[in-house]
Amino acid sequence: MAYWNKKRDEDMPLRPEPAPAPLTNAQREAIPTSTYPARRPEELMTRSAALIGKSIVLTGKVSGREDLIVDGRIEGDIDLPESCLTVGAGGHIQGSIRAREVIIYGAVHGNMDAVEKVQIRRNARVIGDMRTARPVIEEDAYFKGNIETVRAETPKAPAQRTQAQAAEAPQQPTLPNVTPSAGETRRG
Amino acid sequence: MNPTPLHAPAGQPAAGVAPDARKSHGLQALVSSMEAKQNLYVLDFGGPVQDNINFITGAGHKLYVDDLLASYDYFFSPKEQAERNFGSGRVEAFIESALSFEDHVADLVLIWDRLQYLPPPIAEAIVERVRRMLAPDALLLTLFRTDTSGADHVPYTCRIVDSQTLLLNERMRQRPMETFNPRTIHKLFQSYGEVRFFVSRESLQEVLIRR
Repeated sequence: MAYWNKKRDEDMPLRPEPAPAPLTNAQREAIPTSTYPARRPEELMTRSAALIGKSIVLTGKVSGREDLIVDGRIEGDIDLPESCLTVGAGGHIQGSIRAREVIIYGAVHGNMDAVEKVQIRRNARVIGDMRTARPVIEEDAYFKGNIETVRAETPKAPAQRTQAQAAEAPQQPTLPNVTPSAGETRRG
Repeated sequence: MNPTPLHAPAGQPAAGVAPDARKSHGLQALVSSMEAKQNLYVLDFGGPVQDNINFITGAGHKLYVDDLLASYDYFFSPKEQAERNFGSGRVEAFIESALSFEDHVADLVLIWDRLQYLPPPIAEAIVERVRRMLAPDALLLTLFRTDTSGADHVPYTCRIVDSQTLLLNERMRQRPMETFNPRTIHKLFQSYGEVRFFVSRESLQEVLIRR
């Protein structure tokens, strides 16, 4: 039986390992080394996207300020006004989406509101209205819904405003879309 | 599959236009009716085509996109499609599913060649529903192939190149095609106000219909 075999293996005295020979310069250069420690953790955090994996089913509202990749299923609204949402080939979203940019390879059933761009890629399936500055739909994608183009607004940099302007006008949001209250979404 | 141009150009395409593009008098008449108008509601039932989206939304109009053939394939089972025998209420349910619009909301409708690839009861129900959806005096553009040799044909992907030029590609799978002639087209749209045929040297009939 495996148990007894294992027991016997453990009982066997360890064979002494020969001391490793010192590496030559050429061998040292051939060893692959990770660059991971050289990167700052903050940089990694901002450059990477959150991932909802294939087997994940999420019900409820999703909101945040980082890019999101969905390979699983989300049943609920998604609100990422500053970020990019990518729906992978196996991803499925049932709910409305608000994001800076939306890229769809999978399936979406709901309305989309993207300040910059909505890209529906080949073989994606989308049913819902879209409101964006740049609608892009590839051949062989299925899309059913309204398309309304809006002018992409560029956020005004606070440094460009004079003190007088700042005093006269109320504080403007730095993003074109003000985050709505929970459950509220803009419909196209 | 590579897009296959079916027709030689009927007119001289504008500079920079693909050489397999063809002049479309129906499109030209449709676009001229849109001039100086903004915020029209255009319904395109030929499926999503990037050039058409750019052309229509770039002119300041709102666009609805769907492919009637894809909706038909999705709604009806392969058995129903093969037998062309639709049970009680199925046609009405399909119309409610695919064309759930209020009356008089559409300013322009592009059906392209889709009616020719649908069974007659479905095509007739679509035509009647679209008539209700169209605003008074609104226009509907359709295409009918007159080369009826062979049972199956490949529907066109119709691409608007400019205000008077269309590019017709065959990118979809073959489907059974219904035969139409001017008399049957007139009969199909008998409840509409005006039916205009645009004569073409090629085996394609452009028909612009006013509600």
